[in-house]
Amino acid sequence: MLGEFEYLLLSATAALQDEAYGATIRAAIEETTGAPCSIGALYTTLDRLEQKGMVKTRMGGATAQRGGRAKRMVRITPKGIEAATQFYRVMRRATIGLAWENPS
Amino acid sequence: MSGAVWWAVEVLTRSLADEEREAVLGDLQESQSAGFPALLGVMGLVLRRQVQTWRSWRPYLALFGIALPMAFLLADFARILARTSELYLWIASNYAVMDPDVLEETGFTLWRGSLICGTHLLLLAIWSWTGGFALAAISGLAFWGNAAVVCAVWCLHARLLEPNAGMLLLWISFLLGARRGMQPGVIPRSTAVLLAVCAVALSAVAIYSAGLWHAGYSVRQQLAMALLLSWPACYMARTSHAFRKPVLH
Repeated sequence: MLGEFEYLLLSATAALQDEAYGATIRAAIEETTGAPCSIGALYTTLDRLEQKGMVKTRMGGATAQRGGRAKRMVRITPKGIEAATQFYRVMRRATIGLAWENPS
Repeated sequence: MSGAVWWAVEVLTRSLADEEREAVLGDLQESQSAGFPALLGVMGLVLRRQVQTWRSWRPYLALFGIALPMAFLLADFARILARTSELYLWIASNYAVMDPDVLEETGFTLWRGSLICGTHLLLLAIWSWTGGFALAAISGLAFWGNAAVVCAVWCLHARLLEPNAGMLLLWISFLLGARRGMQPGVIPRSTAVLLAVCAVALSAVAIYSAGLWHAGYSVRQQLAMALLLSWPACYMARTSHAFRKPVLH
C-alpha cells in the first residue's frame, strides 16, 4: 500500500494534470497539509513512485520565471491511479463511523 | 534568496544529476523559496542522493582503490619530489664551485638529477590526472564524497608537514583530470593508451634508475605502490573508445 506522502503526491499530480511539476506539486501539498514540503522528500518520493511505475516524468519547457531552467513534468499512470484509489478506499473504510472533527 | 545562500545552493546541487539540478534550481527560483529553509531542503536532497549512490559497489571501489591510495602515496611522493628537486637545483646553481669527482662519487650528477626529477614530475602529473579522471568516472554522483576525502588528506598533509611545490602540481593535475572525467564522452584511445604506457614505463625507469619515494622501500614494495597508482591509467585505456574519423559518403 502507498505511504501517506506518496498518496498526497499522487493526488496533487492528478489534480494538477498537465501543470504538474516540482514547484506546483510542492505548492499544492503545502496548501493541502498546511505544512512545509521539503524538496528532498518531494524528489526522492517522485523517483520511488516512478520506479514503481505509478508516475512518469519527463523534462519540460523552461520559463523566464524559473530563470530559464527546465521543469520536471509529472504524469500519473493507470497503476498510480489504481494505487491511490485503493489507498482512498482503505482510508474511507477505516474512518466509517468515526467523527474526528466533532469528537463526542 | 540572498547571494551567499543561492551560491551555496548552486554548489551543493552540483552533486546532483544534471536534469535534477536543473529542475530543483528552477523550482526554487519559481517558488521564490526563502534562503535558509531552501538550503536545508537541498542539503536533505543531496544527502539522500549520496546515501542512494553509496548503495552501489562502485563508490567503494573508487574510495579504496583510487582515492585513499592516491591521497596518501601521492602526497608523500610530492613531498619527496620537492626535496629532491631542491637538492638538485642547489647542486646546479653551485655546480661551478663543486668538485666534479666528488659529485661523480656520490652519484649526485646533474644528468642523474634531471632524470630523477623529470621522470618523477611526469609521473606525479600522470598519476594525479588519471587518478582524478578515474575517480570521477567510477564514483559517479559519489565523486564529491570521494574527492572530499582526497582533499582532506592533502590539506592535512600540507598542514602537518610543509606545503611544497609538488603539491601544487598534484592539485592542478587532479582537478583537471577530475573535470575531464566528469564530462560526457570518452577520450581518444590513443591518448589513453599513451598515458597508460607512460605511467608504466616511467614507473619502471624511476624504480630501477633511482627509486621512487625514499630508500626505505624495497623494489617489490615500490612496484606494488606504482601498480596501485597506475591502474587508473590502465582503466582509462581499457574503457576508452577508439577514435574513428566519420565516413564520408
